[in-house]
Amino acid sequence: MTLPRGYLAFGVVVLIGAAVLEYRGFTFASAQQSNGDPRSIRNNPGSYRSTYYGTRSTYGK
Amino acid sequence: MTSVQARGLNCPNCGAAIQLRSFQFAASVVCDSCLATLDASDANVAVLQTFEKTMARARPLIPLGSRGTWKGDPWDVIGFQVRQITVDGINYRWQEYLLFNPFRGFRYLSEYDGHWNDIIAVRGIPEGGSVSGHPTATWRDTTFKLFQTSSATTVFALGEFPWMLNVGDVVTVKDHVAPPFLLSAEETDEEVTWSLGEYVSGERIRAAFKVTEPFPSARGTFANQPNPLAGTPARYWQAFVMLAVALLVLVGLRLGTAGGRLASAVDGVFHPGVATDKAPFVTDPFTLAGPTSNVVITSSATVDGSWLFVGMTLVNDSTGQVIDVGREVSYYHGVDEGESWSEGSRSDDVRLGAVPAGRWFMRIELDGPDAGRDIDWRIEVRRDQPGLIWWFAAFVLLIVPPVIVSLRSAAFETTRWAESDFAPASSDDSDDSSSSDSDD
Repeated sequence: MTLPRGYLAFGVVVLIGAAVLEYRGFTFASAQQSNGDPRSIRNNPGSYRSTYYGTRSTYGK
Repeated sequence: MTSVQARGLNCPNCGAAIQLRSFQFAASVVCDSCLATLDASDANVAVLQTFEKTMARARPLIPLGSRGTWKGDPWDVIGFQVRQITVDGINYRWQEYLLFNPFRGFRYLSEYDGHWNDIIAVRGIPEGGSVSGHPTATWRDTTFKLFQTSSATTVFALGEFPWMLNVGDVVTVKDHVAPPFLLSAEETDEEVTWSLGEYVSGERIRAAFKVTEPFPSARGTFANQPNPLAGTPARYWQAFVMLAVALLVLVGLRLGTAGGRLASAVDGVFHPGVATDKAPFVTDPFTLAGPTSNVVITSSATVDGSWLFVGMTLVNDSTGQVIDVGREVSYYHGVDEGESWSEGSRSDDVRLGAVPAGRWFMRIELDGPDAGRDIDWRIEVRRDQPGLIWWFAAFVLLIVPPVIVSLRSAAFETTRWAESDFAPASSDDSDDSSSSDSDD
């Protein structure tokens, strides 16, 4: 059975690429990372989760 | 090349000259001029059937009398007939060419919608059976799946035939397929005749019989047309397994060699309501060793129904490179209408990509609620933590080609069987326009 050379070559490139990206530590996210908006938290704490606003009283002040 | 001497006679119906090329084998002959069917075995050449126009005169793609070398032997085209089946009121017609070689006997070429088959008679009776409930016929270790059962009518004929041909003859045809082969049973009240067809290219036939006019292009998918991707999915999946194993090896190597070393850790207590706790401060310098790699910063805090914002600026002591990160650690839980819930976590990870080696320090700024309990917090910086995202992306890329090839191969088979008696329910009445003939 002859293996598809084009696909094998593609696969080798993919594996090498994945290895380089992993070893060099690249990430999808940019360096400027934030999982919230801190300024709005500080400026208006408790209102940045509108879903729960008013139902749970422990979002800070 | 074998020389075939023709026997001549005159049509008793119209007087036209007729040549017989198959010697004593000719049982009937159709006059090329008046289309009357004659008894070739009768010395007086009796008229068996006069032509009744049921369709326009068909023109053979391979002229009668043509001679060509096919599979190493010379063959003469001596007969031509058009046969028809009717499905849902639509006539489907195909052409059959009778070839003769005085030493090899007879064989047939059939053409339907540009698809050609080379057909020989089978000397024996294939064994019937079924596979997963699908009727089959087995001949010489090859199992053929029943494709279609139909009543075929001869609607036009020219030339000579080794049987008493009559236009209007009806036989029941059962086609079984094992591409590129087609095993057919033609049943009459008296007998069952089996034949084996092999899908061949029209261009090959055209070249063999030196036909100058081009043949019609193949349309649609024929019953025994070889799947152009036959066997390809298996090869792709085999290659995929090899690449997947290589991927696993690479992941194992990465997990086994990744550093994940703790480069820095700082902790403290955040007192809500104390303004000085919100003032930024700077950590001691620390070293990120090795080649350019990732950095994972873990922020943890003993928040409970509360939150702590951690603003971090990673500064390279030598180059001045700055990486800003803002994270929130928050954890809430409770019970609503008897159902417990929770949201957030007391720990947060952020992965920074491609951070160069060198001496770094962090500027940290905390923010939190103005009231509540004290919050213990800790920030850890780790170097070269292994991740799975790129390996997962590679896995997805690797699996796409075999999946596509498999789907395309399956689509071809779906198209093939859509025209059979075993078509999926959703494919009925498809492709009618491409394969039907009108009664012109």
